[in-house]
Amino acid sequence: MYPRMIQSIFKKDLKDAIRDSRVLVAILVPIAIGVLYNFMFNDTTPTPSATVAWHADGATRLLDMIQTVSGDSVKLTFDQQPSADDVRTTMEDKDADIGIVVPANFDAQVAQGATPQLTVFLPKTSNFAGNYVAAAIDPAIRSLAGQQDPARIEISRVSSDTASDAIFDQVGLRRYFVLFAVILEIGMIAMLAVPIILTEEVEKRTMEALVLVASYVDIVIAKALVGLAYIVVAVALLLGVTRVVPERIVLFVLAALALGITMIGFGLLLGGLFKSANQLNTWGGVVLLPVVAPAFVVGLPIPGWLQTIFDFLPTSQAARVMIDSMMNASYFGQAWLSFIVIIIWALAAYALLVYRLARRTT
Amino acid sequence: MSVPMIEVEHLVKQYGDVHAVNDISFTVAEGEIFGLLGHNGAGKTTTIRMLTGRTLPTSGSARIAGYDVVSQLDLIKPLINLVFEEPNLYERLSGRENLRFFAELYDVDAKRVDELLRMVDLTEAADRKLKTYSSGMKQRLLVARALVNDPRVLFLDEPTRGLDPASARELRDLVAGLSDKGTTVFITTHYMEEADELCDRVAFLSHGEIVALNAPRELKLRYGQRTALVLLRDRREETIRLDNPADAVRLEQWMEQDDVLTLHSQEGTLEDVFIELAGRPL
Repeated sequence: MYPRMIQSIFKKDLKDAIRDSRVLVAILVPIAIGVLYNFMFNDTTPTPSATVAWHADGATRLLDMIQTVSGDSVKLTFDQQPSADDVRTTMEDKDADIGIVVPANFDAQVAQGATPQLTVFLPKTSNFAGNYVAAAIDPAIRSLAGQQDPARIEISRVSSDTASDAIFDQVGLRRYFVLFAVILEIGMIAMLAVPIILTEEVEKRTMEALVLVASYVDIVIAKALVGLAYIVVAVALLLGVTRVVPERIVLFVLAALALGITMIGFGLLLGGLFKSANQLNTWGGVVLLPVVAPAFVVGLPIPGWLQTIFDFLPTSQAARVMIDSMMNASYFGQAWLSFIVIIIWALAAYALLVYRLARRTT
Repeated sequence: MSVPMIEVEHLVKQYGDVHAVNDISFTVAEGEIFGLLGHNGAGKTTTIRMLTGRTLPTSGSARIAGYDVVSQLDLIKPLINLVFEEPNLYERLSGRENLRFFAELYDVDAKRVDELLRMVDLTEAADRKLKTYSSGMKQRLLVARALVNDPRVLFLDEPTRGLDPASARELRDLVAGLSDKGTTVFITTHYMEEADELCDRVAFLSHGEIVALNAPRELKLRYGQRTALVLLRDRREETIRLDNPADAVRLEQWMEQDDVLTLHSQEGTLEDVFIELAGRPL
């Protein structure tokens, strides 16, 4: 093994391979998917909001009461209008979710037990936010009237008992799916870009010229390093553009590197199975799918037998560690066990690779 | 030309039951141009592959500059290079980048790249991507790449195939020049005239075996027919054998009668020799 040779081949491949549209697509597609997910999903479920157009002839505490009754379940915005007609116009223009017109001396009349008329405008079609505020008006008026609530309602939020809700609650939908793109990125570089680089050398017979001076081992190590370099840059770029920052960065980096090294080993083996880079580009996706897919159901409710199979796969285990690295507290835990599974796969991949290289040399 | 730069002894390469190369032995002296001629599938490329360490022999041995091609390959690699038959270059890189890459691999000074580009007349096109090169330009770049480490032994596998006559001539001149400087040249070719012109010695390979090995002139003398073409006054053409006493008498009679207009000796060609030995033309 000659480090100078490895360095020269590494530099050449780094420059040459990125000019190959197939390699470029393999790198850029997961980044684009990650950016898309980043826009599509939020880490927290947004609070629904409602705009209340209102007019009152004189002072009233009704709006404060509505706010109190609604609590933090709906984010309310109050839009005061100069007249009742303006409230109706605002509703017609769809600039508010509900309109309320409060007559003069409303609070005093309610307190005295009179029944003043309160006008409420709702859109013709059903509207969750408007309906929610409308439902809050009655308890608000009861409060104004000083009436005792017929019952005290205690609301407490609980997590759903489905695993998917639990993991999404923990890590956040956006971060979960960006991690999905990270694993896809590692998979596409390792199982598509790297084998394309290797297969092209054999197909174009430049490998023949290379082995005149370098050994197969030097060449394969250089290709593996190129794949790893692409993974490091592409994953950093993906996290950068999506602004997803792991809470435990070292754990994340270790998991990404371990998965990258393992999958590059299999990618180099895969490269030896295809006769042309185009053939690999066509069929590589079919191979990639079952390898990467298990990572995308980590933490989701799947049949037990399937879960057991997936637990033995490096992509699932790397996904578990990466999800844990997004939070300070582990969701899955036992990262060491995940690393053992990944390392066993890496050893298997590279042992097979060494075996094949030895056969090729002899 | 006395130091053996290539020594091959009883070299065999077997693929299953097929003997691609069957018990060949020869030596090539330093500075010699040695040609290996044969049909497609005769074993020429397999021989080069074994001598350049890309295929292990089934049995026998081969040494380059005294080093064994199997056990001392790392010592041989810096001393040899090969002009491939097909243009196996990096198409997305420029000519200069291709040469620089191999210069780095061989740990050769970058100045050598400019020197080689000048030598093969590619300085102006050096920074263009290879996909814009003609096949002749690519072939010249292949030669430049093979010279990047200034090899002591240069292998050429069908180097002029597909080249126009002028480019082929330039390449032959280049090879002859290298030999003059002491480089040992091992060439395979289909072109008998090329081998005749370039090679100090040639070996004919047929079905993996060497069926003849000698200097082209000696082979032509030994296997070629010694004939002459006689044009007579009545415009008849007669072919006479120089080693046939009856033909000598006929010639004497024509000359006495002043019937001979012209007389051309017809020396055998390497092609004739090959046909006689292998039973069919190349």
